[in-house]
Amino acid sequence: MQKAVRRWPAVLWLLALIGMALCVWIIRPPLESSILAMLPQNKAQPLIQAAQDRLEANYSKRLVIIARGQDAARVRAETRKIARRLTALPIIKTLTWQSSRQQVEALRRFYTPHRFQVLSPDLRATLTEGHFNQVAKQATLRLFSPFGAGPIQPVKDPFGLLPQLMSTFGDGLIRADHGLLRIDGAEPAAYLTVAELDGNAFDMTVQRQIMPVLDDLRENAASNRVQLVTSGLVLHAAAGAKQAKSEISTIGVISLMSVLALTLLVFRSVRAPLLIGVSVATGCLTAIAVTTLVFGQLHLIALAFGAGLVGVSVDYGMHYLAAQRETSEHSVLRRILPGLALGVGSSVLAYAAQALAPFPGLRQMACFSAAGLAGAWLTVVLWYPLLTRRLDQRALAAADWLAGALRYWPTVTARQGVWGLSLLAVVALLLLWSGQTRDDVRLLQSTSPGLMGQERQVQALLQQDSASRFMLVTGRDTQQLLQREEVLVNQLRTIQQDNPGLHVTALSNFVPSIRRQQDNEDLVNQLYRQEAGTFFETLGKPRLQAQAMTAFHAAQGKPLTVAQWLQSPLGKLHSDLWLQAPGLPPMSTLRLSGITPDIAERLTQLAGTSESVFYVDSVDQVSRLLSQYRIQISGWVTLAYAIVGLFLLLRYRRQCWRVMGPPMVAGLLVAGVLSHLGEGLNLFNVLALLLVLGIGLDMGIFLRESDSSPHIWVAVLLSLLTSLLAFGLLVLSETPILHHFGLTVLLGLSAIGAITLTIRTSPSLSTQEIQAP
Amino acid sequence: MIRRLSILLAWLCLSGQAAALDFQAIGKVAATPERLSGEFHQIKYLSTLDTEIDSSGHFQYERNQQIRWLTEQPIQSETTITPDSLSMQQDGQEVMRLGGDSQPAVRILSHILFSVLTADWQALAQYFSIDGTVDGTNWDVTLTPKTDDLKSVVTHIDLDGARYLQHIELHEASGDRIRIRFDKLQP
Repeated sequence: MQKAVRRWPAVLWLLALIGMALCVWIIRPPLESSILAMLPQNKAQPLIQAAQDRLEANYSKRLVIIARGQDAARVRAETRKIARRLTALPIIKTLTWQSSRQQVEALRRFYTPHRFQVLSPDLRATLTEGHFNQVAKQATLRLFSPFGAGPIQPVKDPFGLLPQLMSTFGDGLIRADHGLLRIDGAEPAAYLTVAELDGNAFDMTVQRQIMPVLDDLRENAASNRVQLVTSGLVLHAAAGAKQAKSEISTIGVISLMSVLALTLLVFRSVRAPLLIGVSVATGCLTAIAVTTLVFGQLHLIALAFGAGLVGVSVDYGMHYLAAQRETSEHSVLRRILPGLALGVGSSVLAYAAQALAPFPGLRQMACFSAAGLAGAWLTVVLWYPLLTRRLDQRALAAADWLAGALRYWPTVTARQGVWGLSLLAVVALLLLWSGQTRDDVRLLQSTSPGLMGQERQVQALLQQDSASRFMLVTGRDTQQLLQREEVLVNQLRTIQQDNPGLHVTALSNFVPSIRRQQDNEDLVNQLYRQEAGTFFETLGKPRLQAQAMTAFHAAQGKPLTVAQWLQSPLGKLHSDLWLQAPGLPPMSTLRLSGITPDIAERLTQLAGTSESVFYVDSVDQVSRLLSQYRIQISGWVTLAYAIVGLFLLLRYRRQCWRVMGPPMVAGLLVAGVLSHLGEGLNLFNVLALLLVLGIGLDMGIFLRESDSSPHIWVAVLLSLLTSLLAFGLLVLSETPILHHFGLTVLLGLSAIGAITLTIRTSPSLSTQEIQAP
Repeated sequence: MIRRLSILLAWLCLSGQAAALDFQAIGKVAATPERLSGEFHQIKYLSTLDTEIDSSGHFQYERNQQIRWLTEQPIQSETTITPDSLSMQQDGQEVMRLGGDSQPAVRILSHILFSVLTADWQALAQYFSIDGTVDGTNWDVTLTPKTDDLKSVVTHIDLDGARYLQHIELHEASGDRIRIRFDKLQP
């Protein structure tokens, strides 16, 4: 009867595990590797967030390939090969690589009915200043000059308004050459291909389709002395996935192997590492399943971090096995359950604090870790009593050996310990006070220098900044939005006069507000009234004036709308300039390039003067948020220590310092030291300190609960060693976030280990100390 | 058999030579002087109106420096072209300026115009393929653009001359034509 009661939860746990395995197998969670997913949501400004999301979505689907080489003919041949290969891929939605006269012609046809309403900014400026005569003179000169720009239509457009508008559309960067898109002025010759992916850049199936083709093309081009320079999120995603995979397989496997080897060595039994393996495996399965169910996907950083979880989740198993060696089977669980429960409780609490950070990636890491630990714990509590019935109960040889070895580690008295810890805490605080912090998101980017170099090369060739800086204008409706944007573009023109390097692409240049279009029409009307007579007389065709006036009147009152424009070839090309997100007013983004720190300051000032204009610098914004959260989470860490400290104070009274002291002082010390190391203290160091707290408290609690018996020392030191192996190996990670975690935990656990050993009480002393309150 | 083969080879060589009319061939006949000035008469045919507009004046050029194109009839104006810019003036005031780094397309256009007027054949070879004949000291060629963006502006350019360029006829893609005759040329 009693057996059935004990078996029932174990069977239930088995069923739950099978269910979770099925879940993972059915869902097959996509692996996310974007640093962007680590970044917080901009809750305060949904407008900015919506705009950023869209820019990000656009960027994430785009793949830019530039073929370069001395021999232009070879480069063209390679570009055609690229186009042929990519067009054949179902994953490519659209491919832009050709230029045709028809496209320019289509654009001209689209704007012809609106030629009096949409004017080039320069021409509008001249007309607004009242220099009608100058515009007429230019037209006359163009007519008689042998170097006229474009076809002249003396009746439909005598003053050449349309050709002038058209000339503002070309960025003067790309020109048609042999039917391809050649980057003008680039040496050596460079041709452009832009692909739009039909799928998520982080989707492994997308990466698997595109990456081998790209590598093949690159190799092929290189053999023809053509270099391929590429840019696109899919490249970063694929590289990140590859890196994380290799890190999981190296760090994860090494840490698991060393844990099993250590267990084998200490327990001198093949069963022990198998049991530990079972608890680790069930922990990992629980972690993956819960994270998948909660988030719908797995972040590679969470997974790689989870590799370190192996080292932590073995703790429970080790303690069970160690405790079993000194007591009879039936009472093992009852004896160590309070310690195990406190241990898992404090760890989960530490991870839960991490989940408070508004970083989706960190939430996943927290969820992954908490679920993993809980899973491993349940396995130990529910399965071990059943699985270890016939386990031998020989005393641990390692315990005797350790008891001997520990004699060589110096110890201090309680009084010395308290004073020593206080002194260390003061030193740590001084270090922290004089140290530095670093919140630059760029430090945390994991992209390889090679990929970043190519990205920069593409940006330089296309004269584009990254999409991380832009301006945002919003309005009650589209018309108000356009009017506001026109005011802003005017203000930007003043900045441009001082900084010719600043380029602005704005929606209102393509589609002015209705009010502006009417204003333009009035200006043109005035131009015709004042200048048409003289113009046609100079031409020697005065009869044409009446025809020109008729053509003008016929084209009046037909304003261009945003909806119409969005359907045009140009509108499709620049669709990212206009955004109507559900539940938000319409907004437009102004693309900017050539921003210097000086310009950035002026743009910030400009945005500060209006409630409907924003200047967004995503990198700067994220860096500021990182700083904000570093401070906030430091507060949380302090609070977590305080709450846990309070609970422990209630249970351990005067002995509380032995449990709380090592992780607290070690945490402070590590923070102090890190704030003086190279990059300064960052958010991810602080988050890792939460982990240190969790592991350190586990250690202190187990030691207290078991009166520091030699067997528990074996388990505690073993789990410390395995945690060091698991997390310490993360120091080797190329992913900066994992590296920072690894470094912090490595230093923190080493310090905790050293302090705990120094202030330990010998088993014989411990009884006295506990009895004396 | 061998004789027939050698005749075939000779014929191939000959035809090869006939086709070898290239920029170097005209370069031998036509001079590219340091300075040149003279008069011009221009007829611009506007296809949309099926009408012609005449103008005339004189011009001066300094090799690799600039071309000044002074229209005197029916209006007074001046166009100055340098290898990478184009500016139009009237009454001593600049009315229009194209070129510089911001407009690479204009740079190419200026470059081509400069090359045509100064008979810089080497430079033209970058943009055009050539077809035509050299007959003693007279030459008559047609330039056909190699690149699409040029083709979208100009279908072809007819040039003829002897020591100096005498006629240009520029056929624009829009159907417009510009015919220029040069007179009283002096180095």
